[in-house]
Amino acid sequence: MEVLTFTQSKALSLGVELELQIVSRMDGDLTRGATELLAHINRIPHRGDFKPEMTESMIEVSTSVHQNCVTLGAELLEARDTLVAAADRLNLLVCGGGAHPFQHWAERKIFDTPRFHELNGLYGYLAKQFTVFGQHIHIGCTCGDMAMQLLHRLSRYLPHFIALSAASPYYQGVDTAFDSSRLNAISAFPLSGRAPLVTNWEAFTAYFNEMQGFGVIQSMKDFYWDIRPKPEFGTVEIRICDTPLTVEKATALAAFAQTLSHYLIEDKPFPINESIYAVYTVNRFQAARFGMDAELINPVSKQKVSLREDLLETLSTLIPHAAILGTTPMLETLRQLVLRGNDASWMRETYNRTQSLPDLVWQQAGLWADRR
Amino acid sequence: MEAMLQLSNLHFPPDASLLLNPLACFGLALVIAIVSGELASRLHLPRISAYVMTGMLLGFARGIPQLADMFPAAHRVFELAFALLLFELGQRIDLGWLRRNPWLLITSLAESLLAFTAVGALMILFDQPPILAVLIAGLAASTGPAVILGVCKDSAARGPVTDRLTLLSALGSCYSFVVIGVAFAWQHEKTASPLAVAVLHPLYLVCGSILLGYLCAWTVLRLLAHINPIHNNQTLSAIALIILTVSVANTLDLSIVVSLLCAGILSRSLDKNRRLQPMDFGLISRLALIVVFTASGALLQPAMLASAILPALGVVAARALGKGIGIFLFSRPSGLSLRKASLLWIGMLPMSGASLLWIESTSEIWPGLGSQLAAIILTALMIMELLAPPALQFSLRQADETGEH
Repeated sequence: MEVLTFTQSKALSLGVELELQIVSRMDGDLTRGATELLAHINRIPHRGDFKPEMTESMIEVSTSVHQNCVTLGAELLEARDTLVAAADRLNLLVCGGGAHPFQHWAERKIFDTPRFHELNGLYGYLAKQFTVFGQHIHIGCTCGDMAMQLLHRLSRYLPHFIALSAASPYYQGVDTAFDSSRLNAISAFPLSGRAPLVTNWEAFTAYFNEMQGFGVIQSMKDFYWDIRPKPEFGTVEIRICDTPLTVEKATALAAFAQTLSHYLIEDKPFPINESIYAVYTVNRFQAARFGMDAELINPVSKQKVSLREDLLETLSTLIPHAAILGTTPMLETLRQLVLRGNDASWMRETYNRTQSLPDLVWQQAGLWADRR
Repeated sequence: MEAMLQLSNLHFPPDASLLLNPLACFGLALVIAIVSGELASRLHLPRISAYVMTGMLLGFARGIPQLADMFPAAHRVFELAFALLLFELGQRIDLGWLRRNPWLLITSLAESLLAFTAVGALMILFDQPPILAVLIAGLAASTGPAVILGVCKDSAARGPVTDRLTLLSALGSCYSFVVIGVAFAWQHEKTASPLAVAVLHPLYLVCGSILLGYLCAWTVLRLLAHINPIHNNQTLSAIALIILTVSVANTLDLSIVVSLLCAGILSRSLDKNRRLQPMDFGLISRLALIVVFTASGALLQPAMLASAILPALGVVAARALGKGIGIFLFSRPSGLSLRKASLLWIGMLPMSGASLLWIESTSEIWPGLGSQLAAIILTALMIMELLAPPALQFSLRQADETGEH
């Protein structure tokens, strides 16, 4: 049996991965360009790590490990500028958003690596429908036990992450009525959803080995959970967020995750038990469907609450923790977002003005490049 | 007796020779083109190769007296269909890209100039008169925009090689036009036309065609802003305006190629609010492709093949060499790997069907020069119409840019 080693990392250190869309300047549709973008970027000195993703229309940028969100934000901005400059030369646009508003999944091409071809073989059309774009946030943990406990406590706030980041109201050319339609593409996978309720690393390793013994998984990569431990990095990875439309929002989401984790680790505000997960899928659906207007069931108090109010209350609770971590300005950005509307509502307003999905993509790219 | 006369007016009983009329032939040619296109696609060959072959078969009907009207008519239909494709291609071009990546402009100038020089030098070696050398080199330097559009659409290609092919073929067509305009001026001077004609005619050609393109683009944008996009009304209005522009260009003796290419490019770059999406003429553009390649096949004359085969092969080789050097020299700085640059080079080999229009204009003014030009260019064009589309399709497949799975 394989021993799943949890690499020790500094508590609350953080890193971010962003999956971005590569679109054509001609018609705003997804286009193939990842290979040229990567080749071009790799020839020049740059910050941030750029990687291919499942299809040629996707590129992933990940940051190095940071202790605070200010340096993380600076690195993301630099990486953004590198990417935008490269895309300009190649006549491409890059934009955020959880899903492309009108691409047709059947037209996607799988990136030419053995793993991606294997996934395509296993999952069929799901693999191509998986052309969705998320932000992954890594929070450092000193040990596996800490990671598992943080993971379960973070699950209570999953709807909050969904509503804050939601940026995929349009999918395959229609308004899905969801704020985050991306989550529906993920839910179709058999190993998506939540991690099992184990609270220490030893128990998790036993679970992992059991699943591996069944032949269901080969590595941790095969679990598509909303939040999962990442033993090789020594982190908890939050994978629920849509890629936001701006770098500033991506940084603010990372700041929220870090501050919230500080609060959950320091205060341990509620016990970990199966009741956290009793309403997990219902809350997840509510947040993806209605965004800030969702009605949640608080699994701790068992009360029905408005997600907007619960978020504002959570942000207030985090004030002292934000002061310690230096994340106060980022959380203020999020508070404004809660009051004024998320990216999904911006996308709907923009589309209602122009009635053109290609134009919406163009404007998303303008936001991403900070050229408004 | 009266009843008999009426019956014969009604063509009853029918006379078999009546079936041998231009319209019937056109319809029949379309059917053969579509069916053979389907066959080609099953053999993993581009459909347009089959259209050209159908056209060439049709070309053998040249001697039949009843069909004498067909070839001038084919020319008009070809022009119209070609214009539609040029407009569509123009809409896919973003001139801002040249500003963001100036190496592309350099690549484009280099590949055209080197192809021009190589072909021109070779023609001088073949003892052709200088004016003929310039005209041949000017026509051979560009890459066929309709072939590029046709094969790219046929294989649903998207990606960096496709984007560059589109851009470079459009720019090349414009350079060709300027060179031919200057060559016309030179010829006017040589044939003792007044200086005013020598200077003013090319100037009129260039400026007039661009202005006509601008007017077409402006009208398209103004008109379409008021037309509801449902039921393809926008697309249909654009097509109507394109037909009008072709007719104006014909009446004023302006260049259809430059007018329509400019109209396409400008209708996109002037559309600041991106109110109009690049128009996909859908079925109509597919019909235009069939017509363009069947008609160009019909206008090629295989009989000429024997007389000019050597210089024509020389043209094909020299332009390939020139284009290759130009593309490879600047591929890296413009952001393309050597592998993709070689695929781009293969894709750039098709010659332009616009030559057919230029040969016609040349023949109208200077019949002797026109026929000399036709012999070499049409032979080279015939070779490339057959070989280049499969090569282009191969390069797009190798670049992994086709929509086939």
